[in-house]
Amino acid sequence: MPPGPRRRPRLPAVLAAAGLAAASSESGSAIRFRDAAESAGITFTSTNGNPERNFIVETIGSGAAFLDFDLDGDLDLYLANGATLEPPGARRPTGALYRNDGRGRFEDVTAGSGLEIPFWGFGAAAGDYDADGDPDLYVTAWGPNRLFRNEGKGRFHEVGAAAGVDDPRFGASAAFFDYDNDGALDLFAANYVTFDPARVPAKGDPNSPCTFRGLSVMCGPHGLPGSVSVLYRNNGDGTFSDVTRDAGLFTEGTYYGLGVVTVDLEKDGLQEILVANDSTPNHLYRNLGGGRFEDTAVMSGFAYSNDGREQAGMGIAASDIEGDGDVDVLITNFSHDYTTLRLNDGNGFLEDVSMRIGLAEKTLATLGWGTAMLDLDHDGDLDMVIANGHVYPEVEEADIGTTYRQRIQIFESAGPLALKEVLPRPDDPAGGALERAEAHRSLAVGDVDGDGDLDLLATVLDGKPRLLLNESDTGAWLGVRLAGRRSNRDGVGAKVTVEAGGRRWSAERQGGGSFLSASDPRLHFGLGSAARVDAVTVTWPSGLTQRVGPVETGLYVTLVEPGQEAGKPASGKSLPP
Amino acid sequence: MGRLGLRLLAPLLTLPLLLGAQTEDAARHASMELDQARSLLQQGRLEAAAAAYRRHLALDPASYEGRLELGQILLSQHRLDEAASHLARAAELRPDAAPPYARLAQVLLLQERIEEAERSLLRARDLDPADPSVRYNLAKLYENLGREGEAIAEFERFIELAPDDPRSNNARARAGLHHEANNRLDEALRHFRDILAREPDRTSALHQTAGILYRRGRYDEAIPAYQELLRRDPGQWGAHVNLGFLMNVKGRALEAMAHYQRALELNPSHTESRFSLGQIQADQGRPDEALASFLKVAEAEPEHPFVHYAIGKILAKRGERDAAQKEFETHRRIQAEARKSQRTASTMQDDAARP
Repeated sequence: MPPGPRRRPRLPAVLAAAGLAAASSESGSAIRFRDAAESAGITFTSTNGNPERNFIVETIGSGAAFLDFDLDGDLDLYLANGATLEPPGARRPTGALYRNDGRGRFEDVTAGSGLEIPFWGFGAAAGDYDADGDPDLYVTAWGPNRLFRNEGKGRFHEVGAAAGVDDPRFGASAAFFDYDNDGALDLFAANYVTFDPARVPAKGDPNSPCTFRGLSVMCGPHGLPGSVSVLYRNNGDGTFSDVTRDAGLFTEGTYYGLGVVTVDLEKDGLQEILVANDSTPNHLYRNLGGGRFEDTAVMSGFAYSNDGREQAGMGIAASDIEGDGDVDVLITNFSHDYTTLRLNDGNGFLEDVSMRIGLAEKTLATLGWGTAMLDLDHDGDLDMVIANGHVYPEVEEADIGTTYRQRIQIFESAGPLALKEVLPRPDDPAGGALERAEAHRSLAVGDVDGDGDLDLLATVLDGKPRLLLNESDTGAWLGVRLAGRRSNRDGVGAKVTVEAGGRRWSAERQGGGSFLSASDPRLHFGLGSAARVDAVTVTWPSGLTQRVGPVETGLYVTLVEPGQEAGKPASGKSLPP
Repeated sequence: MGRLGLRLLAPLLTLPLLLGAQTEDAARHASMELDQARSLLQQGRLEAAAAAYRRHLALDPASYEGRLELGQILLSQHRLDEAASHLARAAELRPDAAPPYARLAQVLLLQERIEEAERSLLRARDLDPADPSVRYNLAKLYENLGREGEAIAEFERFIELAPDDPRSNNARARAGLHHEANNRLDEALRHFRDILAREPDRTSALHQTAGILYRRGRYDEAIPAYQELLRRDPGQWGAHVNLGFLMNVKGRALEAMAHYQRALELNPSHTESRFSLGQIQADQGRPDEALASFLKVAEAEPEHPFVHYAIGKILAKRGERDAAQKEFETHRRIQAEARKSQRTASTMQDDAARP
């Protein structure tokens, strides 16, 4: 059959095999990475069901969280883990906790940590919900979600049920944030599908109607009942209340929530909740104040693709990639569709520019999950990272323009609204890391080795996570750690502006982001050739504004919110390397 | 005699003559009848030839050649039962020879005795693996039975055995289409490119090639393929539509618009071209033109699945929120109805859900 005109303006099937995608080689990039998980001592291997991927629960993967659980100033690592549908036998997989020695070398300290509880975990969020100064962990699950309270000395205690956050539904990404700015971290957890293996035909079942481009595949999410995401308000006493309905977040109809980020789109001091939904319209819950939200996704251009299609949203990132002071939003999607970049026009509309800037062409072949917009080479502009990998192993055997294992893609800023893909350089040990294809899932970002640049950790379905150390040639940088007093302890919702060399950069401490993962809680600024930082200004969720400076570049500063000691100048101190 | 008859008869004209165990006179007589039958056959006098073959067989009932050649004539005359009888007898006489099985299979196919035909063709294939016609017929049989994998294998073996056979490009096209239907796009592409190498004017192969490159995401190759197709057949409005998409993906918005406009000139009722044109106009900061395009789409197709969203978006950006909301509601209703009908058709069909 000749292809002929298509009935709908859907995108045609795809690019060359994902691992070989983009057309132009950008060998001049300063961005390069080195695979370092093994040398860094990360030996964990995830279990994510049957590798044949018979059911949707086996395809989502498991997340990761960077957190400084021992408060020694470096990023430690929690890795969530899945399970199997088959009887577990002697081996019961659990998540893992790794302690960082400060130089990017990790030690497995799971044993005795209280985290060695077997359950089918997915997303990980880190936040100091009990305001005791150390980060706690929330892990979504198929089954009750778990809240691991950090009790210090490397010990966590699971308090999900006692705290009232043990949502038994199929959870995905989660975010700690303070939606009502009362100084206590609240919690949003995206829920995915309602899944009962006894009621879903397995792949290969002759009665299964589930196909993808002619291939018999696992079923879902389409055809499965959706789920309603949940918002918990922190009661301030170690417990939470489910306020989903009261807040106006209860959604009628079918939605499949996966990625979530909280960010102040409207610049009114209240963070919105943005949810990337799989195969259904995305949600943009505008924070109205007073504990109420309103879904404005359709009116904002956020629900659908540019041409009105539901996309299969997975991961989400929000940052001011344009540098115009507004938060723009990136959502990864399924293969044969494109990763969607929406630019904020400043009037509440998010315009899909993916086609216009060439992002569509370079992401049609890939199935994206974890993602981030960040300055990898400290040139002062934000770059993009997307962790890719398909859900259907069957595509490997078919010639349909995508592959099961896919590369991590990096797009480097190349001027206003221009992106160029950083392609693998197999001949370069520090460039070949981008060549390796895996069934990647979550992506966490953080300065693991304390050298100031942002490293990447991507989980792999049924595999070892990949730690990609940033070995880019970089410019100046500044890291900002926030410590709230009147505001929540983590400073989620705080906005930081850095002025240096005649330029200004702004960033917001967000909740959630990417996919199933928690990234470095410190804000990170690439400063190009700036010799020093003239000023750092923080607008706290409490409404307080503080300004410090000048500050040297190349260090982390901790900014403590003026609270009970209001009026005292904030400290600008460097942390241990 | 039609082309089919000539093709069926052709092989027997070159068959060797063998003598049976007869008396010398009877053998000579039988041989004369056979010579006469063949002469008549060469003259195209089928009835007379058949009569001569029958006389020959009366003298020599165990004549393999007589049975085979008469069976062939009867097949060409569509006298299938008689043909089957003679060919089956020929097969008994020479169970190690492929031709009786090959021709018998043709009779059986015409009689729609499919399983017996397959057995006969497989026997012929076993006896003479290098006979391209057996491969071709087997491929066609499998194709009709929906056994695509086996059909492809036989078409491809046929192509190997007879790359210059007049049927070879048809075999390539059939194999290519089956590969394409089974998502083996690279294999399909190889066949269509082979066709074009041998038959550059075959626009259907060019169309397939362009389409596969398009599906495969090899946009930089698909674009010249479609351009070549349009050079050969400028009326292919579908090629303009696909080129419109490709140009847009490549960031060549003005060329994309030109292709959609040309598609609309050729097929003014193609609302998708008008919708896509509107999308690019909107993307290019020409909202008034975009809105005009979208309104035409909505007028032509009020239940268009996406146009109300597009209209609503323009209105929302203009600050006409109430009007926008109305369009968004229409979009939502249409989407919900589409989803409902998808559910009715199949409760779990990923193709329907995945973009």
